[in-house]
Parts: sequence; C-alpha cells; structure tokens
Amino acid sequence: MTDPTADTPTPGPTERLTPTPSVDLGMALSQMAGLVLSRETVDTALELVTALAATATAGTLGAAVTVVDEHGKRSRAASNAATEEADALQYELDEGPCLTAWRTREVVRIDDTATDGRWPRWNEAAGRLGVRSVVSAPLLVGEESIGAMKVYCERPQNYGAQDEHVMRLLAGQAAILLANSQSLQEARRLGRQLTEALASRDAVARATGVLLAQGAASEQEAFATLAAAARQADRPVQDVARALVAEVTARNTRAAGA
Amino acid sequence: MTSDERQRRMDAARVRAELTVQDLWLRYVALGGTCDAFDLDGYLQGLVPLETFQQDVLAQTLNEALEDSYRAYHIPLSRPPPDHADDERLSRLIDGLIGDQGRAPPAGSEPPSAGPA
Repeated sequence: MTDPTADTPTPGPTERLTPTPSVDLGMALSQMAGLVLSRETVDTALELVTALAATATAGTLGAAVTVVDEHGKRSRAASNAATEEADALQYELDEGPCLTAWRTREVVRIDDTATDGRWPRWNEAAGRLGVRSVVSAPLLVGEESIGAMKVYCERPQNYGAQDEHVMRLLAGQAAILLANSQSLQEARRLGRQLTEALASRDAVARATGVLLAQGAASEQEAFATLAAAARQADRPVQDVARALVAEVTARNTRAAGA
Repeated sequence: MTSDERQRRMDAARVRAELTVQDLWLRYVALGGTCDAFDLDGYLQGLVPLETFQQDVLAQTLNEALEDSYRAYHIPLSRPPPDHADDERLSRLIDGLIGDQGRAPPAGSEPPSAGPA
C-alpha cells in the first residue's frame, strides 16, 4: 500500500487520532494482509509467463496478455512492440482472435491471416504488421473470463494442437496472477473505504461528545439529535457532525483570540 | 411498528438501496455503529436481536443510503441555485443545537465556518 490517505478528504487541524473503535476491523484488515502481492510482483511474473509462452511455442514472434475489465481493454507484459501494435489494432477495431477468445472462453487459432475470413479487418491490418499465425487462449478465473493470452508468428501454419495445449496451460497461470492483482486493487479500495469510514466515525463521535457536554442524556439521545438535525437540513449525519465540530472549534478559537 | 416489521423493512431498504451486507456494514460503522458485519447480517435475516441504539444507527444508515440512491436520479436544473441557502439552514440548525453564544458576526466579516470541510 503506497499511501492509504491519498484519496481521503484532507483532515482539518482538529482531526486527531481517537481511541481504537470497538468494531471488528481486525477481520477486514487481516483479509487485506493476505493480499500483499504487489503490482510489481504481478507484472514481473506476468512477463515471465509471456516469455515462457514465447519460448514454449516454436517460431513465435511475440507474446502478450490482454486484460479486459471495467477500465477497458489493454495489453500487459507484451514481449515486443509489434505484439503491442497487433493488440492495439484488436481494441481499435473491436475484433480479433483475443477478443473472441475472451468472449467465447475458447482457444482461438489462426493459421494464416491472409486467408482467414473470421476477422477480415484485423487480419488485413495484422498481416501488414507481419503477423501470419496466432494462438490465443482465454484467461479464466472461476466462471469469469478476464482476458486472453496470445502468441503471434510471422509464418503461416505455424501453430498446432500442441501449441494450443501449451497456451491453455500458461493462460491458467497468467489468470491466477491477474486475479491476484485484481484482489490487490480490491484490498486497496477497501482500505480507502475504511479510512473514509473511520474519518466519518470520528466526526460523529466528536459531535456526540459535544452534545453530551451540552447536556444530552445519553449517546443514543445525542445520536437521535444529530439524526433529527440531518433530516431537517436534508444532509447526511456525517455533514452535520462535521459542521457542528467545526462551529464549536471556530467559536473556541474566537473566544481564545478575544 | 413491531420489531419484526422493523427488521423486515430494514432488509427491504438494504435491497432497495442495492447494498451488500458488507457495504451496509461499512456505512453503518462510519456512523458510529459498533456491531460487526456478522451481527448485522443475523439481524437483517431475523435471526438475532439488535440493541435499540444500534437499530437507530442502522436505520439512519439505511435512510441515507436510500436518499443517495434516489438522489442519483435527480436531474439538475440548467441553472442550479447557489447552495448558500443550504449552508445557512445547516448553520442555523447547528446554532440551535449548541446555542447562539459566541456566534460569529453574521455580516460576513469571516468566512462561514459551518460548511462541510
């Protein structure tokens, strides 16, 4: 985790550490602690897998992994520029062997881009880049397809059933690595949400304290007061709590300065 | 409202606000709730009771979540009014809660201290 506070609202001068909340954050934190594979580790390991794919399939010009997620389609661990270009063409034209492998969850093989009629636009463009044969295997994590891994070759008729088998095995490894990096992102998101939740909780706790000092009979009553004010102001309790604490702080500051 | 009915309505609200129990729990913790996600899940399924205070915190959490999901459909006017009115309303409410003494002079010699940070 680089900087868990990066996306949280800037704490004001009054933000202080409060005692550890009694909720079971331990569970959430330990869930995150199990996921310490860094982005760098995953990238290095992915490059290893694509390099392995390139050597394990004879005559391969280049190999890469296509990742498809909510941020779109992109290539990772491409072994050379030509591979990256051939991939970029697929994303641009929204057609090609890897996108089909990803969508259908089946291994796709092109024996010759010059004669294959399934992806006419991509085949023609890839042919100009010198790509003649392709094997692409889907990246499957459980039921979900998260992309594809492919090898490109300059010669037609280069790949056979054996290469398809090798690619299927290696794609399995790449899928595990990618799933790991996705759970790391998930852990980061959770960490950010927790930080935000704690900041809000701090504000609510401080505002409750102020109301208790003002004579509220119990925490429950203080909370009810905050909730009622929130309803009247048509704002979340968190906003009311922050505003309350800010106002008290401002008054104290003025009183001290006067 | 009976406590059974309250519990059922809370779970219905959770579904309506499209929250998982985990997401709901996080929002509930943010408002100061002290039960863990397991307790919350048990309560929503009608299996275990929940203290009244915790029920209140949960109710507020759900009301805010419903409000948020409803607000997501709001269509802004082409010229939205300035939200000073909103801030003033909030700051009057705050004054109501902690009294008027020590209030900043209203003439705007200082920036309003009562908005969200």
